[in-house]
Amino acid sequence: MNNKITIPESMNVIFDKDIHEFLNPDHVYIPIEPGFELNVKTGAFVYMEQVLLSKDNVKIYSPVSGKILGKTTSMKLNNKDLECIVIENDFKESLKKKTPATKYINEYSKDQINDLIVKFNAIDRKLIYGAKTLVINGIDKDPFEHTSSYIINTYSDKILETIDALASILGCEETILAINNADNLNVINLINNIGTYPNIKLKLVPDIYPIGFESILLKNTVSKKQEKSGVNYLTVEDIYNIYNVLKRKKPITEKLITIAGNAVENPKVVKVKIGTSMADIIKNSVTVTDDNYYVIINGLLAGKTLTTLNNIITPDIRSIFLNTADKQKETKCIQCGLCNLKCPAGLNPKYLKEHKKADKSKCIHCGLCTYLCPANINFKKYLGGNENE
Amino acid sequence: MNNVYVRSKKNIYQISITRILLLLPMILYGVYKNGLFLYINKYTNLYGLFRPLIFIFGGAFIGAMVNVIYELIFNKKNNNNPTIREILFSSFHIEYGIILGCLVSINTNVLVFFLSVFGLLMVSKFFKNRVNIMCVIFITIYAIQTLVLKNFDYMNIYESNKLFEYNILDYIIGKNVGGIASTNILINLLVFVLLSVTNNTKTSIGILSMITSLFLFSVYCMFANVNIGNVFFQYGYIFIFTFVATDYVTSSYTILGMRIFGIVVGALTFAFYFVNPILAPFIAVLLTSFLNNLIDRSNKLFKK
Repeated sequence: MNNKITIPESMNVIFDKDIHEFLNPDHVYIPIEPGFELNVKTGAFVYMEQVLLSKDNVKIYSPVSGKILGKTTSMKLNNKDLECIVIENDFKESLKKKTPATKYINEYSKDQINDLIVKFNAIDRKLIYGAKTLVINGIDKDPFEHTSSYIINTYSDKILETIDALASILGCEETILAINNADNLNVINLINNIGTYPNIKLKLVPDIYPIGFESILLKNTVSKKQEKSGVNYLTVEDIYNIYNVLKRKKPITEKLITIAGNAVENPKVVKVKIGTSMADIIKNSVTVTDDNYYVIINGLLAGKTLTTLNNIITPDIRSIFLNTADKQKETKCIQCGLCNLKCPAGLNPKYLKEHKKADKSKCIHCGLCTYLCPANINFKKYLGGNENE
Repeated sequence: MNNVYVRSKKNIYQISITRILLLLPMILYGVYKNGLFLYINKYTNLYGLFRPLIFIFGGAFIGAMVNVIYELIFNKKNNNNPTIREILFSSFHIEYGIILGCLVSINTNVLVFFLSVFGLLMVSKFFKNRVNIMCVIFITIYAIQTLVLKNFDYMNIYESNKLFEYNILDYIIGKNVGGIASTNILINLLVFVLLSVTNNTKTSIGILSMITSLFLFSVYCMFANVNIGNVFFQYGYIFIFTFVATDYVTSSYTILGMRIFGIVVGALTFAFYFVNPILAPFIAVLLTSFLNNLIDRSNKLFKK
């Protein structure tokens, strides 16, 4: 029996290949996370990349230059009310101090790299020193997302240069760049360019869902021996951020996000400022064709539905979908066993649905069971929400 | 909020249609063997020509009617305005009707068939699929034909007029006596492969029930010096393992559960063969379907 699942519907979405940006919002909103100390005052002027909030080693930087208007509670972060600093953009992108770009990024030491990564929030995980394998995930987590694919397509030279430098600095014996074998443009692009970097092994993984999830990808690309000797796992977005941090020594204040869904006329990947309101991005970046849409972040299959567009862009948001809900009625389970058979975590979603106290901790919230169920049962309701909850 | 935004195209309607379409080659062969061939050779009249179709399409019609009647009369409180397609394919009853039409003997009393299928399918609607209803219906028809009408016979008029000695090839291409459209093993196996590839059957149940029973029968035939064809291929066991044992709603659904279910069906078929060879697979599937929840739960024991 065919145990692999491809999501054919995702192949129907055609993305605009041009570079799109929305880097000039009128206001940006920086959430004040619990425990963070506010380093600026209301009415003060802030430079772009100036520290706004700090807690121990972690610093939050201003994505624009302008005036601090004060605090607001009108914005949300993943549906939750959170106090934010509001900055009025002066559209000048004034910097307090200009840092010249570094010529060669492979000249950093391990410690220097770690310091820069931590200082400028390049990635949300720690690099493991001594790990022998470096795995780079070039596959979008959700089949309807296009962010990783876009980053490879647009910045392949920078990505390869950074992976090579990182691998040599970290002393990795094996470096794997995994990409989807159905991503034809990138396969050709990388095969043409990878010759310059003999240490990077290009791994074409089958177009199955949820191969873009960390645990599933590692299971498919790394042997048990390699796993034992340590694996550093990063996404191409992490690599792109590391490149910017190492090359320009500046914090991450922008990010690329996919904007798509069946209520969007022209799906695209857009570069936006962190802290921009989603309503602003949607208004300025895409044409909406159906007003009965829901807003979903981070994937149509595994993502989270937002209650309002008054949410802000944070570093962990990969995509925004404007999509109508599926209206097929839920019927009684026909015991086909597809949910159990196809679950990438080897769980029994029907059992977990029926037994509220059952251990659901191994669920990776990929949404595959809900997608596959012929009786239209929404397992997401019973499996503890979704990845962002 | 936990809406669903994208779903696969697989639903009960698509599964039913695929399974019914894949049954067509079996049906065509059955119509030829038990209708057209007899008509061409003047063993039967025009009614006899269409008799296989009366059972098969009559079964489908009754299955559809049961769904419609249940939905319109008994399920009115579920006021969500279903479409005609949703009503017709609200359960697998159309498919059950067709499978039963394929399984019964060509000599079955049409009234007994229709009344049994209608009555028991209707009753099954209220019992939430606890047991394999196809087995219950077949056993009922068999019991009425054998005990009341006293004329159960798998042979059509041509077969009962001649003496045959079948070899393995005859069994494989379905020349042997049996249900209306359940004899052709070659087509049956091809259909099973297609059902598996398209994820429209519980493959492990089908495979393991076939392998288990074939193994047990082979051992028995070796020691008893009996032709395996006359034992294993005679009564449409392969068809029953493919379409009846793998019934979605009344069989196990976990990976291990399906395997155990298949093995138990195969083993019980062998055991009950010595009681009644025709009913053996039906009793086996019926008993195992009683235990399907237990089998699924035993998963945990095995994992521990």
